[in-house]
Amino acid sequence: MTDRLPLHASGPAQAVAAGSARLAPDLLRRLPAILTASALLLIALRLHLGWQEVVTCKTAPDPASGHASGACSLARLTFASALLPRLAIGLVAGAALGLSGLLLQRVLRNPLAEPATLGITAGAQLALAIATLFLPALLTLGREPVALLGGLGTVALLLSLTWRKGLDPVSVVLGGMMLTMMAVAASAALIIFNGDYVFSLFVWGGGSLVQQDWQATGILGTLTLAVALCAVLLRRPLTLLSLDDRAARGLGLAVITLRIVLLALATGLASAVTAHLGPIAFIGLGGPALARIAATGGSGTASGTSSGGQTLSALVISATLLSVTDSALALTIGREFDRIPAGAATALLGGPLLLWVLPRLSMLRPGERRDTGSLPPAPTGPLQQSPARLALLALGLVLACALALCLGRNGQGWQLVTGADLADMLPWRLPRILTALAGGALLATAGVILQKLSGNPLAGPEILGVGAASGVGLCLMLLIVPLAGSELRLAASTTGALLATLLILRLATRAGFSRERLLLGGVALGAFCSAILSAVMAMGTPVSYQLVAWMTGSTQSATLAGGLALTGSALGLVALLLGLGRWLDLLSLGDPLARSLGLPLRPARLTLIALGAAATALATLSIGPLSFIGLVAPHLARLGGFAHGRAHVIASTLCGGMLLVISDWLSRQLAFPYQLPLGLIASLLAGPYLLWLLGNGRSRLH
Amino acid sequence: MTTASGPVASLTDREPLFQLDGISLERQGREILPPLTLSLEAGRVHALIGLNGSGKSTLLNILARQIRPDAGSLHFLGQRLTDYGGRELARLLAYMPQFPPSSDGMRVRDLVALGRFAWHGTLGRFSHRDRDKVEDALAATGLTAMADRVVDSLSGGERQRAWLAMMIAQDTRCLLLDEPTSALDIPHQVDMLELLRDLARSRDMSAVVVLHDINMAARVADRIVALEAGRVIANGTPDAVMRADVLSRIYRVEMHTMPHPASGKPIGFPA
Repeated sequence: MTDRLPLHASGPAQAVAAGSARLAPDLLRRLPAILTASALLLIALRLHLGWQEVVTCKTAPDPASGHASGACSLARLTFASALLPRLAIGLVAGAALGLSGLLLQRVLRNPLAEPATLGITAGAQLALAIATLFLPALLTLGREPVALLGGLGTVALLLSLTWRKGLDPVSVVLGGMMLTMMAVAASAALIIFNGDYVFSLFVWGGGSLVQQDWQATGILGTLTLAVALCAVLLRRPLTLLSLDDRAARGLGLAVITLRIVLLALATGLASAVTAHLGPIAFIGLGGPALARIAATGGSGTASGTSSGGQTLSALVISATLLSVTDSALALTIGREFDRIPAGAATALLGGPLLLWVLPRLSMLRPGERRDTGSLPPAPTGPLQQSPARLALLALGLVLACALALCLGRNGQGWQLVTGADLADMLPWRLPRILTALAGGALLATAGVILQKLSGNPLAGPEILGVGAASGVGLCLMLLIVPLAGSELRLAASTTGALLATLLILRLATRAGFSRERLLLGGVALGAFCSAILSAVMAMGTPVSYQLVAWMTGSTQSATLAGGLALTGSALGLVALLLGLGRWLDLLSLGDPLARSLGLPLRPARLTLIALGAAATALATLSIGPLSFIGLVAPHLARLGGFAHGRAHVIASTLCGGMLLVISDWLSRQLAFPYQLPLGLIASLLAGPYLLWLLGNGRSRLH
Repeated sequence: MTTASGPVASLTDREPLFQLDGISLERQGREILPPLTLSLEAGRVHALIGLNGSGKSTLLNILARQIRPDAGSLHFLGQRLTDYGGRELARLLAYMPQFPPSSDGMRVRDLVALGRFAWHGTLGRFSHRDRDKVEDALAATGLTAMADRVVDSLSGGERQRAWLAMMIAQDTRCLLLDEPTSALDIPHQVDMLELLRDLARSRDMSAVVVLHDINMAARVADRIVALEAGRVIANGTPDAVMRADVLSRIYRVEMHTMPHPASGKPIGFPA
């Protein structure tokens, strides 16, 4: 709290902020106008192109029949019932999402709140998936009520989880993102459970503006107007809400009631958009954030813009942002690949935006505690790092493997396989078990490294986006070299993971970047990478199918040779890490101490990062990016009494292997005769623990 | 008590501990340290004092090679500080930041053993000698009975002693500490600083300690160096610094001194 601030705190971040402000304050201030102009321009262009088709069909009659008939009326129909509503709904839905995000941000006093970051979108989608599969009758009432139920449920869950932490902004968003990941996994699992494998492809992307009539536009437009009217009527209490709760209550405001009403309105609006268009992320975040930046010219200091003006500009930016994104897509690759969803494209914009906004947190100040540690410390059991306990853990792993090998379902029911039957089963089951075992151990290794390097108990390759980034590496390699062999794939995946880790840890070492913000940055990076993957998957090219297979993380295709190779590499990497166990302990003390104790920081960090990236890439190539094993396994090891040093590394890899072997077994048995993707099962197993961890922060001690 | 630490250590009696010539540092166009020239004697406990923002923590970070100065030369035990290898320096110089990090579930003995990294390295065996040094450091700080407890479960004063024990196990010629008492109540502050002084004396180590409280500094230090805006405005024995006129200049308010009722040494307080 003293005199060191000139060096550590507020160094580069502010310099950069000041630089960008000097660079283009005028450009930023004119952002709403620029966006509006480009949106109008693009809309005009699309109208022109669409009208052209109607006109050319009139002037050039069908050469076969001699007169304009089928093709021409189709063109006219396309223009009036597809193009026009699509253009309109882009603006309407954008404004709706912007309004929803704005309300959520005011009510929760959280500039990072928006339908997607709070899990509303994913919750609504999950509810729709459940209703479609199990209660189709419910949908006859309309999609909105079902979606609303899902959205409200998610928000209620999220707020009750983070209530104890005083709705701390970053915890709320972090919890929302985790709920999102789990809801997406659950929707996918449900759909695959029902055998409709292809549909799963679209669950990841979603958010398409393609329209067939004016119905959705009408509903969304009416709803948006209604909510906007409510917001205008409630503008005075809304202003009071920006004060401290106690102050607002002192001024005579029914704070709780108002919050609930506004949350319900915002959630309802966002759920309706999801019901009709699917998930469209980051518009509700980007619109208000850009409006704020535009109002301040990027300098972070408030200027004369009124709050009303800023609200309006937020709505305009949100509406035009979605419209521009959709138009840009439709006019470029959308002509060939009509299925690339605008929702995925907005995540492409939103991920970097979130990363860019996070360090400029002067915006986060009001109502925010100095977040020096509202994250829970990693839970630890009584410290008992004895070799005997390690042996016990290893025995547990052996038992899990034995279970996975011998117990299974067949047409008649459960069956314990032994002897000669087992020998018959072995070629089928052994490769999967080996792959799962090694994959789990590798993810755990990566998790230990990331947690120690970032000093963050919630870090893991999945949370920090390292897994998804390795997928982007793979994706780029497949796009350039479609028939890339496994070495090339591994190299590309490792490179992707390496770059992501470097980027994220650079943010981590940046002054004033708290542990929660690091996680949020990781989640944003992950969302960005996933959006790239979704876009490529939606293109429906051969690469897409390879990516879908990679994404869902299945061990079905495992071969014995592959499993053995993976196990070998896992053993090698773990052995290497064990050799460097002392580095991990020293680095967990932070850079200054590690340096003063004689550790060569740079080489040590780089070596460990490379190890972690290689482990992540190897693991995700075989079991996919969707699991929280890398985060949870080190925690389980701690709960078992292994908290540091080599014992922690060994225990974590054993736990990771065990978790994944069990997940793999479950994925084979739960939906027999179908097989569920391994990564989904693993994330559904580990996710609830994460939420619990997040809800049990240190704030109880305050 | 102390063992020789290689050829450099044998020079310590003649060479100054730190010799700074024209050390300066600037950040974002702001001068944090103007060219600073200062010599610190070996074998003494130095207290660095000054107001917030006077540059005392910065100076300590430069001495610990955590921050590289923009200009000037800095010698430690007769050799340029930049010429030392990482582990070589860690065998001669131990540093503790103001807020030691969470020790991540380690036991006291595990933490203290990390101090031996500079001696055994990445893959080297943890020898008997390392073990002895760790036990010795635990005993010297009175932590032997708590050696198997998890550091995070200790009280503030005990935890601070555990970090000190780690520095002792590092077996260096010099200790650098940044406000080691800032989180402690008064009895623990006194305990901590007296333990530090006694260890430094009995092991023939030098120490540079950033302190807030002038009276604490006068109580434990052999030399007091006072900074103001990065300039040395007083440098001498406690008796020489604990004068009303000097203290008034350091703290920019009128200060008085009076003899301590028991020890008779001067204590300072604002008017």
